Amino acid sequence: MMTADTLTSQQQAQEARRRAFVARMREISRRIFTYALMSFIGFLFLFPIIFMVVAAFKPNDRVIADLSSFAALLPNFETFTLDNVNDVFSRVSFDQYMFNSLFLTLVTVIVGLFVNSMAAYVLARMRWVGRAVILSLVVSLIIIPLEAIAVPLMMMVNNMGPFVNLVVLFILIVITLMGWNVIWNAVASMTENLSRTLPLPVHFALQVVLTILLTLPLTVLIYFMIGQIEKGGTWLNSYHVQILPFIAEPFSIFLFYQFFINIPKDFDEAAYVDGADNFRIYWQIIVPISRPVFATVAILKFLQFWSFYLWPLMVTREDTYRPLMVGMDFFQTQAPIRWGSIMAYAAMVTIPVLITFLLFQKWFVQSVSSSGVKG
Amino acid sequence: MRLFFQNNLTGRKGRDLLAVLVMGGPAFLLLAIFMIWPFILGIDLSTTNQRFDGAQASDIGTRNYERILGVGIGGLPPKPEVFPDSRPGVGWYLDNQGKADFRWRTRGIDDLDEIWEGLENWRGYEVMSVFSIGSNEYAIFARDPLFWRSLRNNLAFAAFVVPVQTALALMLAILINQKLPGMNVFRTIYFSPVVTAMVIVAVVWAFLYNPRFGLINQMLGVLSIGPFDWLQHPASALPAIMIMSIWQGVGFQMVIFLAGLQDIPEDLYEAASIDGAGVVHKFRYVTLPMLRNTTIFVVLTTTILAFRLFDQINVMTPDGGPASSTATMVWYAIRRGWRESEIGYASAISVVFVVIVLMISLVQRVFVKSESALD
Repeated sequence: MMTADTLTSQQQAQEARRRAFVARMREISRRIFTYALMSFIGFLFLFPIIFMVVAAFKPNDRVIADLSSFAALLPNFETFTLDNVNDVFSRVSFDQYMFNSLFLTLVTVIVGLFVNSMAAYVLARMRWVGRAVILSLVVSLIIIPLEAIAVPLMMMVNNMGPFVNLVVLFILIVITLMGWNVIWNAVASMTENLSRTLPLPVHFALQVVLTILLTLPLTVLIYFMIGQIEKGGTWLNSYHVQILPFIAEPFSIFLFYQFFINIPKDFDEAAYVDGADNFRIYWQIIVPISRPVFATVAILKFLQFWSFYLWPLMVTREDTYRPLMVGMDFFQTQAPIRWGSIMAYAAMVTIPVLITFLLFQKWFVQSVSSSGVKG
Repeated sequence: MRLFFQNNLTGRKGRDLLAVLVMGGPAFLLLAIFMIWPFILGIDLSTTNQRFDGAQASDIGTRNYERILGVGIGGLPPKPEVFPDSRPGVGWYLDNQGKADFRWRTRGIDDLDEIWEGLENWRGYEVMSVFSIGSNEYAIFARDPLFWRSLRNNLAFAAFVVPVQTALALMLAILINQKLPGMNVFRTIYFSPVVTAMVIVAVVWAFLYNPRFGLINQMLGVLSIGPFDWLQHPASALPAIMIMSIWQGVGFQMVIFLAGLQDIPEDLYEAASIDGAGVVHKFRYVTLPMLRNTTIFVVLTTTILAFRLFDQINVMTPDGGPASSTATMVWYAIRRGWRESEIGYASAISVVFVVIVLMISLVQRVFVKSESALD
């Protein structure tokens, strides 16, 4: 009896162990399968990018010769060369394009953040006559895509009347003055610690220099605009034609609005009762607690304007004002077609953005997922 | 005067009003100048024959719209017993392969009504396609076949890309959402095409699609599929662009689905498990209903993006592809308005485009309404 019992319990234990083993094997094989599937999908997503980067640093004749094997996707350090990169620089003004793209994107995004968030503040946290009308107008403007108004907009900017020119210039100057104010104060608080060690005039000079430097893009823009207005009515072929129409954007205002409207009233009530003016409340209370939505809008707009193609294609005629994407479009059809150089161009545009993405990927993913939350 | 200012601009209310004007003014004015005004201008221009080069424009009423939307089906004359030896101006003939073909050239033919009764109504139209019901031959006549081809391509693009991209995005999101180590790496990989600019992606893929050297044909060749002509063949050009667009865009949708998945409370799944639901049932009765809003959002944005399709088309097939198989509405409007400087006509196409986009948004409104009515 005893032996039989032990046998059964032994058998039971064995059976249980066997089952656990099977379950574990099943789990492991399921995992292996999952990882294999996901790696394969990952390969499908990565191979064009890998190919581009590898081909960019290969001698041009190897680019096509390697295609028949996996060598197309493998970096070869023996044949590493910068010929393609040099070829790009010698045939097109890549540095000019790069500067243009950076300048246009940064100014549009940063000024857009400022202008759109202020508009959203006015809509979300102030009561005024006509607020509801403007709000519904802004929201309904979201569905009008740029593509739908591109043609009449091109017609319009080609022949800007003096009145519209003055209005736009005035808006730009107002934005710049507010920007000066903000940056002046920000620089002051940044250099506050320094001011104890520095003599007052030096501190003041530092503040002036930093403010001028930080608002330089806007000042340059105003300078260019005045020059263009003097030359004649057309805005075509300039920086401001690629910036000003896109500073105010309904979707950005909407994203800011959604965030601001959910901030509890007691955050700014006290300041309001104390008589703090609205700009102060906006800048010192609302903006600091709204960092996530600022990051969201900044990243979405950055991706949008970095790859902006349709409008710059329509309004630029010279290399001086062309951004990278339009330059790429012309470069890829410019004889002689050297695929190595084209891939080098593509890689030089993509790698900086990919690195930025890898560094801030949490923010990127967050901004995309919060763009989908619709109230 | 002093009193007026004191009451209106120095009091609390006055200062609030000033803040609305200064803080909200720039954005609202810029939106009015660069979105609302061109939109109205576009409607206005669409009734003229305005050209970009400044030639005198005149009001032509709804003629642009008649030209764009002019389409109809008409019976064709019966095939003759004996086909003419040479191609006639209008009528049936045998092409080189001995196939009966209908030729249509209304320009320069005054006595059309004498050739065949019933065809005189189609003066100024082109034959878009010929089909037969029973023994009768019919043709679709259109005054601007390229517009209808563009619309059809947009519809085909939406019909394929929207369901496939949405399903793939959901599948990837579910894969990534597993609680296994290393999922962040895969998320980063699947998302990386999104941060690569579309123009760059299009140029790189144009090379990958190259029939002779392209990596895609080489890889498919290993599986002994192909080779395909991809962008050079009317049947495969649009699918090629569809595949590439899905590759570039699916990561964006995936992240939105991922956010939706992570919002589903865990206890719903536990409750389903207790009820004995398997993986399939959990997906069908928990995941899908909970993702309803997200799915509507993803479907809507993808559909609108499908109608806004331009960058890829213009980079990969600048002339609209073989047999205009990749022409899209935006591409066509930009071509007429920018390249051929027919502003009036292009504005009319843009207006039709806006109406379509508005209708899609309205359909989405209805869906969201019906859903909130269910709650």
